[in-house]
This record gives sequence, structure tokens and C-alpha cells, in this order.
Amino acid sequence: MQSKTALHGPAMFMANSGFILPGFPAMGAWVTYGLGSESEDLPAFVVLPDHRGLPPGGPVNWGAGFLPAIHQGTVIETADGRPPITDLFAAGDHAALIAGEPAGREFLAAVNARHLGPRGDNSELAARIAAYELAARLQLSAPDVTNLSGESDVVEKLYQFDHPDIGPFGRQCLLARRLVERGVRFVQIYCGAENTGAKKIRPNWDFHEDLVRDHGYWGPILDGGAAALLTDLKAHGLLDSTLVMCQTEFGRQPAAQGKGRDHNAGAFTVWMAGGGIKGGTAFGTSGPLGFKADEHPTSCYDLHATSLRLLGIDHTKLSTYNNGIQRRLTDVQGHVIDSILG
Amino acid sequence: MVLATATSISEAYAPVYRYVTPDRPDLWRRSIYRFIVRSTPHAFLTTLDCPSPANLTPARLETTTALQSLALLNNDFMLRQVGHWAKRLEREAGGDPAAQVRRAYALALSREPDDTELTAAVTLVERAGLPQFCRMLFNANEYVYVD
Repeated sequence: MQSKTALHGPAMFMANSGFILPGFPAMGAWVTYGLGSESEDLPAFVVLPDHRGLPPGGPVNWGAGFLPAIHQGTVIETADGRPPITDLFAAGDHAALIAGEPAGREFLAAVNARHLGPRGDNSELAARIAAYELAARLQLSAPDVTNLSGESDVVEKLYQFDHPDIGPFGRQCLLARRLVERGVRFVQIYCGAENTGAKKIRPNWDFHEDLVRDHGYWGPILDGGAAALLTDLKAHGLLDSTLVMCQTEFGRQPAAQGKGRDHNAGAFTVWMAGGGIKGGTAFGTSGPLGFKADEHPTSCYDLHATSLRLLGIDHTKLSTYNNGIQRRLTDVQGHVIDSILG
Repeated sequence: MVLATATSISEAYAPVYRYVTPDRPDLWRRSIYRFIVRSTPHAFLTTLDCPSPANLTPARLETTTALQSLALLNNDFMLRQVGHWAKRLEREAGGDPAAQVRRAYALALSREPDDTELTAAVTLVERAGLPQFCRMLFNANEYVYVD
């Protein structure tokens, strides 16, 4: 794989939306725009950030761009004790309002129904009423999906909950399986967060200072969580109907940077599993130094085109007209990689 | 209607911005031009369809989502304003629920409540308190939409 840029922000945007500039819809937005969702109680596109924080570029990475805002990713916090969705309940100083809420809701519903009466053909008013009903369902479904106490000991061991470093990422992965189980169309998990200044193990995969230290830390985390997720999806009979993609925004140089390595947009690896992918196969190689993609260089356009194809979508046809251009996730590029399809 | 201030804490790579709920008279202002932090969009505004400044947006794309419902029902800014509004109603209309409800309808909806509405509202105030009623009126379609 190759990217157009070796800067974190633009490269993240490119991996997510196909463009190095912010303001374009993320893949999850496009997919839910094209396919909708199978869950009536949960958002169609969910993002599970690392407990350390958001990735470079933050919410722009799961934005809806010029697609309707309902296609924006909804962040669900996975860390123990944090409310799953922002403003899910009246919190802190306002908790006293929760007691009287059912009566308040009844009043609101009656007021809105009365208001709708003579304006029955106004779909926006009706949609807004429905949104409150969904909000009420979210207040039940979101805490339910993030309540992992019902999962068996086997599952907790599989995702290594007890491990101080792997456990949190394991939680994110388990939550992803639960969301997929409940019909959520697109789930995005982040392993690592934006850089901070303090000198320590990096809070992400940006290993400039010390490859052995940081990769030694993060390798088991990603490996542990991802392996558990694939095993778990398969055990639940979900792997064939769930496309799993593991990607990054760019790679590292083959040459040293102190004890670490610098950015390299010329060669990096992504993997895919499940959802119609032919297992045990590779596509493309880098040159002997690992500096540049050599045979079959690909980019996010090809990854997106192939993924959309597996979801039953022609990437050239899923488009929307915006400011004079018929826009799509793959811009004007992208080839389906047929040889990795099952 | 919504105001945001940001305080910046410098870290090595990029400043980290944390939003403060405006809860002082000097922060209660309408904005024509607003300072925008690209890396940390204001969650409340984004939920309410505030467009990304990265895009040319001649007309805002308006949507209706459950997250908007949650924001208007539960957001800290909204609920602090609910508290202020309830106090204002008590100051201006006294302790009688019916008078408070009438004053609330006048301020929020520019009209008098009819008998059914008055009864329902007064019942809510008596059962669940004036702030709860204020909170729900802020969420009513009639308040949110200009007809």
C-alpha cells in the first residue's frame, strides 16, 4: 500500500475518506448512506476510540462531510465507568432531573403530537418526534451493549480483560463484536491515540524513538485484540458476513531514526479477513529494502473499491452530487482487487 | 443561542482545547464570527449540524437525529439554561404553577396556553418540578421550529 502523504492528519483523512483534506465523508458514512443499518436501536456507524484519546484529526475521521449528518460516526466510549454516548443522560449537577423524566417525556410527546395535528404533512416534525423515541431506545440499548458483565469467562479470557495493557483494547474489540451482533452496519476501532508531548512509550504506533520498546508494547495489544475478535466472530457464525479490515495511515522507513523509524508513505501493509475475502493470500510486494511498494502498488482507493464490492456496492456508482461534482469515496480512482476475493 | 469558549493547554505537538460551558453573563452572547478549533469541533454544535469549516457550505445540511434529541435534553449548557429559566419564571410569575406556565408559554412560544395545555403543564410542574417542565418546553417542536 502507498499513501499520498506522510503526515498523520492528512494521511488519516485519506485512509478514512479517500482525500487528504478534511470535509469528505468517511467510509462508514458512505457505507451507511448506501446500505442503511439492521439495527433500529443503535446508530448505524459506531466509532470506538482508544481510551487514551482520539486519533489525529479527531471526529473529522468519521465525519459525514457533505452527506446527511445522520451518517456521521457515533463515538461510543469503552472505558469502564465512562458514559457510552455523550449526553446520554442528564449528568452531574443535573442528575435530579432524571427522576421526573418519564412524566416530562409524556408531556413532551403530547405537546408535539398536538402541534403535529394540523401540520400532518410536515415530515420534519414527524421525524423529530421519531428521533426522541430513538433517543429513549438508545438510553436503554447503549448501556446494554456496553455492559460486558454478561459475557462468559471464556470470552473474558479470550479478550484478556485482566491484562492491564491488552485488556482495554480487548474491550473495544469485544464491544465491536456485540455491536455487529446487534446489526450495527459499520464499526471502527482505534488502536492508539494522538501524540502527546511527554517522553514515554508512545500512545500510538508512531515509533520515532524506540522501535523495540514501543512495538514490543503495542504488538501484543493489537495482536491479542484482533485475534480474539476474529476467533469470536467465527465462533458466533459472523465472520463470513463481517468484513474485518486492519489498516494504518502509512508505514515506517527501513532506515533507522535513532532507535526508532520515521514515516514512510511508500510502503505499508493492511490486512483483511472475513466477509468474502480469500484467506491465506497476499497481494503486492515491496522492494528488497521495504522502502517502496514494488509489485502491484495499491492505495486506499483500491482498498475501498474492494471493500465496497464485498459489501455489494459498485464504488463507481455510490455517489452524491455536491458543489458541482459527482462525489464518491474512491474519487476518480480505485480498482477492485479480484485476486483476493473468495 | 449557543456559545463556546475554549481554553488552551499547550502540549508538545499541538495545543489541547477543552470547551467550557458558558455560564456567566459575559459569555452569553450571540456569535456572528466564531473561533473554530479544527481538530476539536464543538460536540454540541456538530450534533446540531454545524458544518465543517473545511467545506464550502452555502446552505447548512439540516438533519434530524436521535443524538440531537439527547443533546437538547441532556447537554450541560441546555440544563444550566433550564435552571436559569426556571428561576426567571419564579421571579416574574411568583410561586403559582399556572402563572409560571403562562409566563413560560409567553416567553417561549409567544402565545397563551389553551386549557388542555395549561392543565397538562401544571400537572407536570406539580409532579416533577418547574425545571422539568422548562426542559421539555425547550425540546418542543413548536419551540425549535419557526412555523
